[in-house]
Amino acid sequence: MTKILLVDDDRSLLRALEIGLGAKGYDTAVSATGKDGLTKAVLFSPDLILLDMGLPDIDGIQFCRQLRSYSETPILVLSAAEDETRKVEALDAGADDYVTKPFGMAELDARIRVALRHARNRSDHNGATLVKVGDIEVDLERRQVTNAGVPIELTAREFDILLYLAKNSGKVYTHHQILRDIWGRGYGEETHYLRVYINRLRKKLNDPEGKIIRTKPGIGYQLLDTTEDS
Amino acid sequence: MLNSRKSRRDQIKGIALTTASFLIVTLAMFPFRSHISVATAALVLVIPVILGVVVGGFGVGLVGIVAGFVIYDFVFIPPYYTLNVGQTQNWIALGVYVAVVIIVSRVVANMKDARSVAVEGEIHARQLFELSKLLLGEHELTELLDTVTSSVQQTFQFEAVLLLLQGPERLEVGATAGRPVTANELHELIPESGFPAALLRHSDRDSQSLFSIALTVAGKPVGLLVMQGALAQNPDIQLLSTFANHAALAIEQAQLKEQALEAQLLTETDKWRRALLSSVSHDLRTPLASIKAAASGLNDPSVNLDQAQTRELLDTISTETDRLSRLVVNLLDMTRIEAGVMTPNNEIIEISDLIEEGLTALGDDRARAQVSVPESPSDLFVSADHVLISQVIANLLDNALRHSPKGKPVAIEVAPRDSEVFVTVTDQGPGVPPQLMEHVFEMFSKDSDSSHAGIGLAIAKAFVSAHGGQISVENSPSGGARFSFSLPLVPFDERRYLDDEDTFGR
Repeated sequence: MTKILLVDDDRSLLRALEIGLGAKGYDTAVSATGKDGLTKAVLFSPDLILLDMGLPDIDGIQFCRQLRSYSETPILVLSAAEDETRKVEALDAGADDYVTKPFGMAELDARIRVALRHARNRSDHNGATLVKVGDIEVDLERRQVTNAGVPIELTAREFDILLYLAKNSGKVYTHHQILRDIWGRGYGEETHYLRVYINRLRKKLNDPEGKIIRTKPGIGYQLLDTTEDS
Repeated sequence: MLNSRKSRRDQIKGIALTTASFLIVTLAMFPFRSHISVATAALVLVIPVILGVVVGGFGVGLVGIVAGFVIYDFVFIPPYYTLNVGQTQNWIALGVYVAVVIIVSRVVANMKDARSVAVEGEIHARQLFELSKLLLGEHELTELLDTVTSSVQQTFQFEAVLLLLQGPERLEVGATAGRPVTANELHELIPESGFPAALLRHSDRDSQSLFSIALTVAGKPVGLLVMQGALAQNPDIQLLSTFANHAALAIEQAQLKEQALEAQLLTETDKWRRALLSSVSHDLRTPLASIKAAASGLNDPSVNLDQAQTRELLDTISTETDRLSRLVVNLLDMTRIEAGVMTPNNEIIEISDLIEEGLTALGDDRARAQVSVPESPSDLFVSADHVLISQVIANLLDNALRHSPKGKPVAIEVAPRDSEVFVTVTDQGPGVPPQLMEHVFEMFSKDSDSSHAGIGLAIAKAFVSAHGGQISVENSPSGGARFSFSLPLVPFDERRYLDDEDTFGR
């Protein structure tokens, strides 16, 4: 059974999520504080953590950073719409995705499933020379990309970006993260560079609507496996 | 201003002194006049002239010289009692006497003039110093304007002094001193578009005419100082204009300071607004998130819920809706306070009724069950707006319930003390951290991470203050927070009176 840890200090929401997710077949554990959450993240060893940004004891961002120092468990951040900058900080600190409050159970469940699927994918990629996300295959050794078997010509930087997103598909990367990791230190604000490359990549991947490479407005990009979605 | 009168008095004194001393020296030398030389007499006769010059100035000296000449010739130069001089050497003595006296008088008079100029300068400087001293230091603008007009009016003895400042559209009266200025006169002073303003006012009494000095700093106009009264002397005009410059500087400085304060206030208000917005949006969203999660869970066909779970989700929706509506009420009340339209609609009411109402306003049955209400003393009446005070009670209880572990009761108690009644709400939560103690009643006391807070306590404070009461918080010995507010009790007599009327109250 898939195990989900809920960390939120709002008891009502916690209880509603516990009931809702429990009835959907997840095994849940709850924490009302960040410290308790970090402890349960070890003891309960959840497959996914739902994390509220506003915890009474430790900051949500700090929670992400601490957890990431020893665990790859996907983190789905529950945040309010006005927490835009903190959302970005949380993603930079290692969170995988975010859900904006208020959200419905169906939406939350869908996001959980995407995060879980990609997390499983990710562990398959560990040490592999071939990264596969849906129809897209990235061959690390030969630096070649195929989409549904059709080879695609990419420049070195386009390849780097695609590989970067694909290795952790499902994770939302912030503009800052991508620029810093692909372009190098000293970059981070030049989101217009990124936009140009992403547009070219989408064209070459036959993804004009951005279904494979998702735009997260004001935040960053996310590569999604679209083949399993109905 | 009094110089001319003073000098006339000095001249009279000088002439008197000269006459008296001439009389004394003449009488003193008279018995020996045949024994002393003509030159000695001349020397002695210099003294009265010099005395006259010292006291009365050069004019008196001239009178003295003529008198001295006549006395010398008539009394001391033989042949006596004639204007005949006789010997040639006596002519020389007479000539030398006149020459010496004229020269000495001139020198002494010049010295005297120089001294009086110095004295006048000193007086002038002291007056300016006294005036300027009034402008120093921390003054509010209105206070400063009053100081300027009243000190000018007193120093120069003007009938009226008026300080006009540049308003947003035209000159406006900043301060007045002395006789009040009529509306008619103001019309003439302050030009208004469409109305003619007098450039030259033809006064029946010339000395009473109005005149003005522009107050400027670095070429920029600050205002206009208008005076009515006589101002004759040159040094006075200088003094006035120097003082006007000082006043202009001081006024400009005060205006700048006022502007800086205003700007600071605006920044503060802006900061406050932003904090309020973020606090409110958080507080609105939190219950919404629970409601949405619970409702969508109930509505999801893929979710299989048993009866107890269904009941619990429905309960959540109901509870959180109450919480939300309480917040909305709080927000509306806050807006009323902010807009300044909130005045308590007071009536005489028993405190136990208010507590009952507060519990009802809490809305949530389960939460209510957690509140323990000890038997409170009856017959405690307060004058209060029952809507507002029940809101205070509900907010305090809501806060206590949110900080109490589930199942641990929250106590509300009522205790009269002196002329007040104290309502205390105690929870068994973790208490208020010491660093937040001072700030719990502020609009956004919460640190950014805590989801509890909001405006409930701030509203409680505002409402209690509006009733003339006090609200405070402390941590109880057992660790929980203890909030307490007071309301003035209504005196027994008044209540009796109301009971008799039997139409008042509820």
